[in-house]
Amino acid sequence: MTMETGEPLRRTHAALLESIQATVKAFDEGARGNVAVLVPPFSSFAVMPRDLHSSKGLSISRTVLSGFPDGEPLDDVNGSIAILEGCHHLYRMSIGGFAVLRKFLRDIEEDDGRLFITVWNAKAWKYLDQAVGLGAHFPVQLRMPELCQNELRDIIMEKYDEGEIDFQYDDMPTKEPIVEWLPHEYSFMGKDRETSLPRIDGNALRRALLRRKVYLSAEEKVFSQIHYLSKGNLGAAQEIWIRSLDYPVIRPSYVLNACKRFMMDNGEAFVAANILRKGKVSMEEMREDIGDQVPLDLIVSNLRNKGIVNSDGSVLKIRAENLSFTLDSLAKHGMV
Amino acid sequence: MVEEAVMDLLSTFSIDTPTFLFLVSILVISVIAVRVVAFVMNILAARFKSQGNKIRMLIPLFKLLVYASLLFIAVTTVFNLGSAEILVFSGLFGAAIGLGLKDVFADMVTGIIMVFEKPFHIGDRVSVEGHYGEVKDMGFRATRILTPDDDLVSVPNILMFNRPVASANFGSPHMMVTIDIYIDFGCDREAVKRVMREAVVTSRYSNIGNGYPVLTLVKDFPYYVRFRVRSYVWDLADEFAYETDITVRVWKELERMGVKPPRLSLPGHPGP
Repeated sequence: MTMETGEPLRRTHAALLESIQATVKAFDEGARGNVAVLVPPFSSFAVMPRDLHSSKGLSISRTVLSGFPDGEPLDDVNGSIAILEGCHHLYRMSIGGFAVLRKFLRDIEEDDGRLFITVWNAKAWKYLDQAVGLGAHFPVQLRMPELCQNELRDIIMEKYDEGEIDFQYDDMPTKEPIVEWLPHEYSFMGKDRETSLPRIDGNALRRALLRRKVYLSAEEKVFSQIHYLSKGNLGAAQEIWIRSLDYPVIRPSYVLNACKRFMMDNGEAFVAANILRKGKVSMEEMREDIGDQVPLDLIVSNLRNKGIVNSDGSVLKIRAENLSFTLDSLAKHGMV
Repeated sequence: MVEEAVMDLLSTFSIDTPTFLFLVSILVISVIAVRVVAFVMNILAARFKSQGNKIRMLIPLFKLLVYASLLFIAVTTVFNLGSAEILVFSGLFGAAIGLGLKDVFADMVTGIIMVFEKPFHIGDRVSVEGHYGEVKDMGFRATRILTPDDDLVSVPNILMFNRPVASANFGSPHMMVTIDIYIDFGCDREAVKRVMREAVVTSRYSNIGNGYPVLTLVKDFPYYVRFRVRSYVWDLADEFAYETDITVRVWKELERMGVKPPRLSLPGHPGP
């Protein structure tokens, strides 16, 4: 689910668009450097032809890849400046699965007459850079930055009128708590159980040690938690907001209750990492990618039960509200 | 003179029922404490995998501390030792070592040295005297290694100390694994290299991030070509699963490509 966004989001993307425009300008002047724009999972960054301007009047085209291509990915791409989004769909997680990507990289390198502006899922980029040395093919690499708490708030609150949302305190004191309790799922004696584990808020602790008493408003607390859980990822923050909002009321506890901690075994982490890298992926595509390595149906079922994976029909994606914990867990398995 | 000293030492020996029960109870408490600490440390080691082997090294250290304290309490409780008695006790202890316990004593001393020097860690994959496996425990007398065949090999500590011991990971949870595939001469070397590399980078067990390289090496032998891939497994426990995964998937792809294993070719025989 995406939300309508306007000026605040354009402001956050302005620096990226400026950098891309600079490469277009350089291309107009004869210096060609293909661009890779790395976007965090769940965040969208659509470069429209109208956003860019060529002083030579070169044609600009935009192509969006939403799955592994059936034919040559560059067959339908025209325009002297080609914008290609969803390039992380150009590989399969199997032996021989990088052939299309390798050919794509070779083709765009050899095509001197065109500038390619490619958009990649940042997690897939990291993996592909390690697997096939992707970084060497793109002289210009631009990374969409994580958003700070205020930027997230401005973008999310843009669609609401002043005072429309009722930010309410829980029963908790207004004094900033150092320790927060988050839901945590674990297995013991073969059974899945749930408990709460403490999380120390580093900023709150630092302020407490410095004896700075900070009284956060309910709104600040809500967005502080959304920022922590989304790791500054706009797409995840928007999902968390939607799941936490009991219109028109939202409380800090609603935000924390929207997500939970969990543990993954190696097979689950492997599947979750592959879903995360592709953003959205069909069960059939996953089966073709990694079906021979793991019992996919069983693992996907486990991931759904744990609340890690969302299924929209046969399309799998990581639940945005659990992004932070998913990334933590995947990092422990060396998958991200 | 020696007899007299021994008799003097023995005269300081006294043990009554409460003392005996006290010693038995602290022995039981010590054993339980060591087991509880080992259990907790193993859980913590599994939780914090990157520091796991270092956490496990606290187990032998704790054991040493507990059992040394236990020995001290037992000796000072049972014997009423003055300086003369300590001298006699030391003499008797030295004689015992000289007469037959020297190997046991050497094992114990080297066990203590190894705890502090840490030439390897609990959880490391080591190779010593032809035995390869995971170090499961570092005891006072012997180090126990669990082999891939599930045999628990007890290697006397003096051997672990005196012989070259190869530690494949030295405290790290990640370890390089070398996997060899032997192919017939007529193969397309570049294609096989690519298959091996792709098998590694797509394996659920491999660790290709954080600067861990994947190296593919090719070497010609008289009757075959050896393809060797060196890469890192994320979790030591998956070493053999990783090796199997790569081997099976590589061969599946090679068979699809029509690549053959080495064929025996003798003069006068065309071969298979």
